[in-house]
Amino acid sequence: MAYRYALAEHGLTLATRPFGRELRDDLVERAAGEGRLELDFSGVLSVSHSFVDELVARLAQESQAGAVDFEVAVLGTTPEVDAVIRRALGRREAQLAQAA
Amino acid sequence: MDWVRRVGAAGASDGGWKGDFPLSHELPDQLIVDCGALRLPILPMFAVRLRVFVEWHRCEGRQVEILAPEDRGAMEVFRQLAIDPRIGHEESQGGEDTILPVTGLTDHNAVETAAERTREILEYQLPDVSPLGQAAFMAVAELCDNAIDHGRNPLGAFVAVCRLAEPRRQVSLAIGDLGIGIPEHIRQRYPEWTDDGYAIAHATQEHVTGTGDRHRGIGFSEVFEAALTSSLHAARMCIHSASGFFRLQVVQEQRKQDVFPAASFRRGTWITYDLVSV
Repeated sequence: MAYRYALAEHGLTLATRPFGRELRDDLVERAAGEGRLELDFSGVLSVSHSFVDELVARLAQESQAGAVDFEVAVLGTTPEVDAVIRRALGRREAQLAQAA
Repeated sequence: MDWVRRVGAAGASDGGWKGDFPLSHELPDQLIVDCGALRLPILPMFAVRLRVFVEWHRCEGRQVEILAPEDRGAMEVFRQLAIDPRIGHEESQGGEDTILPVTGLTDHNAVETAAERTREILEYQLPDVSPLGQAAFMAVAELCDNAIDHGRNPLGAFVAVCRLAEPRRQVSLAIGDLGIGIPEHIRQRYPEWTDDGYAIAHATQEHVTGTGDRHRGIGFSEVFEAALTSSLHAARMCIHSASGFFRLQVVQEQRKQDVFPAASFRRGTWITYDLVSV
């Protein structure tokens, strides 16, 4: 089972730490018990580091630590978005599940 | 008796820092800023500082009159930048230099809108500087996010973004707020950093934050990281907060930073950031 979430519903650009936190809090509830959360960035052109750190990197860290009961995968990223996500993960030293 | 401040022809030079727009309760009820002699270029920091002066004094109940530039080109940019909302704001047309007029930000939704608008205009309307779109987006998003988070005050924060042609094609942005300022914020965690300039310099380093969260304090690094991965000649950031002035330049991946004592105390945090095209 996987819960897929299309981030482009919120716009082509995603920014700010509070917005990342708001989405993360929402997704922790929605994806509970699903086993896997797929964050779909298809159509998203730009992301800020704070947004990604709060949403993706923190969720990945919580998943590794067992604080949430699902793994986190990312898909549909442009090279620019992917680079920001990788830097955020690197700073938190967290890893994503293989997004196959 | 009215208080009158005349802005000279070069009032917008020196990075937009020149000229004194005091935020003082001691001023009389009628204030006049005469920009009649102002000439181009009008830099975004000048625009932000004057707009904050106008908004702050009007909130204090004073009458503030801005006399617009006599020079036609300067007047056009003056209006586009929305330096005085009462003079009228014209939407930027193609080929103009205002990317984002002086915009008040009071919440994070406004930050997101400003960042998105900046990227859109750069990437779709200004092909000569479009490679700077991602770097400008990251700068507006991260620096304004900080300003709203740490610079809380009733007026909020203000941002403006312009394209300049001289001496090289560049995108310049300015952000200002009247919050507690970087030195005081950072000293909540590092009280030993008593020198304002060095406190600002430390605050731009990774994971240095006044929040106590070890995952925070990465905004400045990410702003420069985005610049380094863009096609640009140089990036230059200046920060004036309290009595400190800090400048960081990245030219062809070489970083150089300077700390100066500021000429005067400045309440809040004021940042200019120039992305110079190749």
